[in-house]
Amino acid sequence: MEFNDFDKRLVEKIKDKKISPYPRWHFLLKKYVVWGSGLISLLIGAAAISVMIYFVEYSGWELHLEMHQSLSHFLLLTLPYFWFIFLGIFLFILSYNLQHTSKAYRYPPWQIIGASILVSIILGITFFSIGLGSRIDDRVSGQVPFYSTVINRQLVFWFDPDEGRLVGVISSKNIDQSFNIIDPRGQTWQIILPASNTSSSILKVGQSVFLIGQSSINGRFNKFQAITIKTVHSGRGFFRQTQFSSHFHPTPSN
Amino acid sequence: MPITKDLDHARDEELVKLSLKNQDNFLYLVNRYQNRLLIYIRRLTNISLEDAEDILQDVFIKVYLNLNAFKNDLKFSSWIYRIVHNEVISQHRKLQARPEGYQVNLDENLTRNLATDIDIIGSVDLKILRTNIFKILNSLPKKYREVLILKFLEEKNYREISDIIKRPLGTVASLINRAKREFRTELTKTKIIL
Repeated sequence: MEFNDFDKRLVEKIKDKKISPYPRWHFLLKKYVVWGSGLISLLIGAAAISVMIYFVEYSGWELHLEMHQSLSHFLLLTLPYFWFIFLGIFLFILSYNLQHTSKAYRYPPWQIIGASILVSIILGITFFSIGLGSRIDDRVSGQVPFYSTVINRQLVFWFDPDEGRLVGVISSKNIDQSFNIIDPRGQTWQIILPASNTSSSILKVGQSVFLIGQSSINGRFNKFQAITIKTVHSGRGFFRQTQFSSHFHPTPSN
Repeated sequence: MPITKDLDHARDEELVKLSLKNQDNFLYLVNRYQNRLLIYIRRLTNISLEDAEDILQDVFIKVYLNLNAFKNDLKFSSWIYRIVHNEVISQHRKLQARPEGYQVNLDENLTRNLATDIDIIGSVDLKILRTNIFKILNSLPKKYREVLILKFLEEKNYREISDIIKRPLGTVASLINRAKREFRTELTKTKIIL
């Protein structure tokens, strides 16, 4: 098939319209934006995974029988959904960016998505092992106002005195081995431990704790007869927020 | 004009570099590809020569604009076929409004190759197949039509087809298999298979 002077007409048109190739940096910039944002998404997603591992590790899941909860029910109530959604968003961005790299079409989408998830998990475990998960949670829990209601549902789960669960920060220690805590609503509870429990001696003012036991109201005092005490890890920064700090009394009181 | 006889034998990749230095050298790439791309466009779209030429002009302008994006890890022919493929897709609506029915002549050997590969060589009259091949191709879904055209009429291998339509090799292989099955079914329906 031949057609007259197509080539010459085309080159003339290129010259007449002063068309010139897009500069090389234009394509390099596009490439670096795709890879750069993919890398940032990978790091953020891995950071989210490290926080999720930290949450599950220190959620108190091993106490589910003491709380008369099945493990699945316990996990359902306390899983870090916020971080799951957060991770999902950044995994999506990572997969999307990888699928828009120049050679991505050579791999099926499930391989790209699978590789994104796998690399994020490996990096997330690495981040967790170097303590990044706890550092992120400390920072977020100490500064974000909606932390206990949106980000860390464990605090909501653990704050249910009628069901025998209490969480709070130790505000003062008493001479009689009992101590006081401030709960997330700002109310004070006197915690009474069984004589056999010696853990109060190692607890410090300002430390946050989960408690399993039984609540009672004695006059205007909230009392809680504790059976088990566990130190709070995920969410401990929440109890350092200003609403709690004013209640601390570092010296023992009668 | 910086055109010399030597450039007729230069590799595509060298011509790309030379075109970036001097736009007159782009003429060599245009000359090398214009006929086969025009045929490819008409095979894909079944439009008139004038319409196909318009598309081809747009394709070459895009190629020229994006010369700096071309990387040597891809064959230049695959890259330029990909641009044609994308241009045909982007002009799909416009092309659909045009009258169809323009036929592109098909080489006898290509018809024989196609019949051999689809395993119908003994049961089909090659002349009838040759006359009806585009009618049958046009009755197939677009995804099957394009891989059959690339494999049997443009004689591209699986890797090249994968690079042109930007799908994984495995997907290309299964698309071609399904396309061959569909093609055979259409031949039976139209009673071209004896």
